[in-house]
Amino acid sequence: MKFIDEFRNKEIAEGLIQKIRKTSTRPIQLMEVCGTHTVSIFRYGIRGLLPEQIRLISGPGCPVCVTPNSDIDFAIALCRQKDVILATFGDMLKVPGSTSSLQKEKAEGRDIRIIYSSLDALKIGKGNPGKKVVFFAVGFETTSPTIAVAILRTKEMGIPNLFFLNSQKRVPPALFALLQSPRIQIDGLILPGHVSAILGTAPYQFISKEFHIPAVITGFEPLDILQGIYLLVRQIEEKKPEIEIQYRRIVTEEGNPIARAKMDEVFEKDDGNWRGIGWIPESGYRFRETFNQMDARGFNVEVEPSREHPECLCGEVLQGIKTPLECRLFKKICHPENPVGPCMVSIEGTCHTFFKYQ
Amino acid sequence: MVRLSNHKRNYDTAPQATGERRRGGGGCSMCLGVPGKVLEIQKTTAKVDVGGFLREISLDLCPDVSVGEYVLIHTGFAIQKVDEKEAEEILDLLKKMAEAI
Repeated sequence: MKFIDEFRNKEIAEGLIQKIRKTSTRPIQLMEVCGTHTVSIFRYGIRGLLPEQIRLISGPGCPVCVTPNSDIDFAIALCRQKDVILATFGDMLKVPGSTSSLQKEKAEGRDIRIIYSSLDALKIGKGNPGKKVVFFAVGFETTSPTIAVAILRTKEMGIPNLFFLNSQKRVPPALFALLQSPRIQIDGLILPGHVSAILGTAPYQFISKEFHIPAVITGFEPLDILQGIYLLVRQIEEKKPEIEIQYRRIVTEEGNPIARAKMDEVFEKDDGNWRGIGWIPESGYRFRETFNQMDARGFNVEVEPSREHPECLCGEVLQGIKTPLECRLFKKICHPENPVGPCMVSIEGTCHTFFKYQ
Repeated sequence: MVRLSNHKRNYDTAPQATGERRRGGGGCSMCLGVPGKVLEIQKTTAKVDVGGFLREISLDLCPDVSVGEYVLIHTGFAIQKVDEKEAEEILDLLKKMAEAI
């Protein structure tokens, strides 16, 4: 596939690894924020190719993993209503809530539809006028503009029975929180390519300006990741932290202003609840007042009190403080067929990736 | 007429089984993006070729594209144009770097 295959060239990869070895003089820890990076890093064995002194740690980068179980419980309570059809992305089905999951509810006969695009929710809404259709909308800034488009179009077309359970997250405030209370040493950040395709570089400036940490917006193929790591090592060695773009074929300094305008039209910043981490200021969204009638949070349903498995370490794993190997549940009672915590559910969750590749 | 590959597939019913899943052996649909070539534009939608598969996508977030250009596709939306020149320049740079070692 064009723009993918050529970024998997082995000879160039070897050259980059040599270059990294020559440039790196001291032990460092780099965090990859995005789950797609974690998967690529394991899939191509990148950890094993790097000099021992460069350690890669995985961060909170998967919207499925960080959706709080109180929201999963809310979605479950909604789908148990007889007149509700719940629509969501396929990755959300297995995520454990406090006592159930959407997959279990679907097996019990609840009407839960898996959608691929936000716009599919509109079709379901229009096709089922006698039902209340709720789109359980999760995602980072890559996905949020597509949800904003769906909301704007719902309003335009007048689909009165379509509602949104909004659980989207904003990445930069989470990075700020992570860097502000450092329970781990981070020497450089591998920033997510597709979130940045929307955001551009401006929202990340605090990383280098306030925390003096280098950060590189990186693509997802092996050459992208190796070049991203090389650029980080170079910034660290030269002691010149900045926000650099490796993934130039997709990401520009200004990002996608049209997409950001759509988000601004529909949402305003709000505190966000991250599973395993907690509330982070301004890391989520709420509806602007004109769209309030579409907010499924206004539904009067009884939601069970949320609780997590007491031994689950997903919170620490999401912050890069612990690895899945330190969790007592890992591979014993927690595995992809019976996930206890969210990091085992998502294909991009750190525990799932460790399970598959380690 | 652009020739797509020979995969037999019902394009309308299996959108998520196409390029995005083939790309890297899986990944969460909420993070992945794949490049596709624009074949046809109709108002706010486009038909694109994603690694030999035909897909219909929304151009709401990336309206300024032309037939023949590549876009990055995420959950059925073009979210950014692919800059072919940048891609070539980076590959050239990396090749030269690898040769110099």
